[in-house]
Amino acid sequence: MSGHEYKIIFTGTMGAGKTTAIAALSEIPPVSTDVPNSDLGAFQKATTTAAFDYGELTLDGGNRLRLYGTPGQERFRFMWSILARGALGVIVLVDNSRPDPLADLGIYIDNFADVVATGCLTIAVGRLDTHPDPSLDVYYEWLLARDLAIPVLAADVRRRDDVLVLVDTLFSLIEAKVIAAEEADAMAPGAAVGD
Amino acid sequence: MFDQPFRDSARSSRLQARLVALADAVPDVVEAVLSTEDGFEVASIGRSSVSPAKVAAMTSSLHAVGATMSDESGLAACRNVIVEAAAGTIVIVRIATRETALLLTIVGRHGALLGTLLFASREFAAAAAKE
Repeated sequence: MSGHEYKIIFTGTMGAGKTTAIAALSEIPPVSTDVPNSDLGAFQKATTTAAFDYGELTLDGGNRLRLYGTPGQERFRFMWSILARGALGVIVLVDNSRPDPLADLGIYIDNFADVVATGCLTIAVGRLDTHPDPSLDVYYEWLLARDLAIPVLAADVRRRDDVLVLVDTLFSLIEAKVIAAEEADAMAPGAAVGD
Repeated sequence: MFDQPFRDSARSSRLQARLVALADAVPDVVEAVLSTEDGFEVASIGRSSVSPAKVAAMTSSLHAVGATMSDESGLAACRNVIVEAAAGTIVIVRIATRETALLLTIVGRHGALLGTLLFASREFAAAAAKE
């Protein structure tokens, strides 16, 4: 499984680090659609993503990832479904310093339900060092209560290595799904038999 | 309408009055929304069923894509974004005001002349820039 291109999505609330994560990873100058943020009450940040971020990454083995970041705010929800088209996996960035990070997570789990159903999802919890609650165990319990078995990792998306671990984790899920689909095709009645 | 970012209600009212005047002058305009660059409605007039808040958010994304594409293509600043659909035309124009930039979205009915919509939007932009 090499030489393929895959589209993956970074999503999460405003200020969770989607633009930073893509900038940390991309081997091309990232494409950004940042505009001035006029909602300083929601987040003290000079700019915000209005449409998407875009970057590219070549993995060991030759597979290429197209990295898309979504706008965080719910008023841009229409962009989430546009960007999700053709995506094989989603990384949800959760900001643990926000008032209710589990509720935040629920918004993205619900809105990316099609991808969630495939199991190709990874959750990254940020700012755990300064805001340890809820812990990763609480996240796992929250997910299990919803019958979801999804990897949850602590991450500082300013660190390239942390973002790479997220992408590797997601990509291993995608890879397993692709291999399982290929094996199912091979086992299907009428499949070509090799020599 | 989102209530956080555009707190100058007197200015908002003046811009609202200008939108009403624009719609009166150009009957082919079915909706006009003035919004911040990050997608908050500032003023609107509507003769269609689309929520102005939704138009404001979509305008923000669409204009951001246009601006980024212009920039990546070496075409410098994006002046406007035009959507020509089967049943009408949408014109989005960026307005640089003294305080902060705004976006004007005009939705024209089927048969509306693009030149008329562009002229009206630029006239509006020139007036609104002084507010």
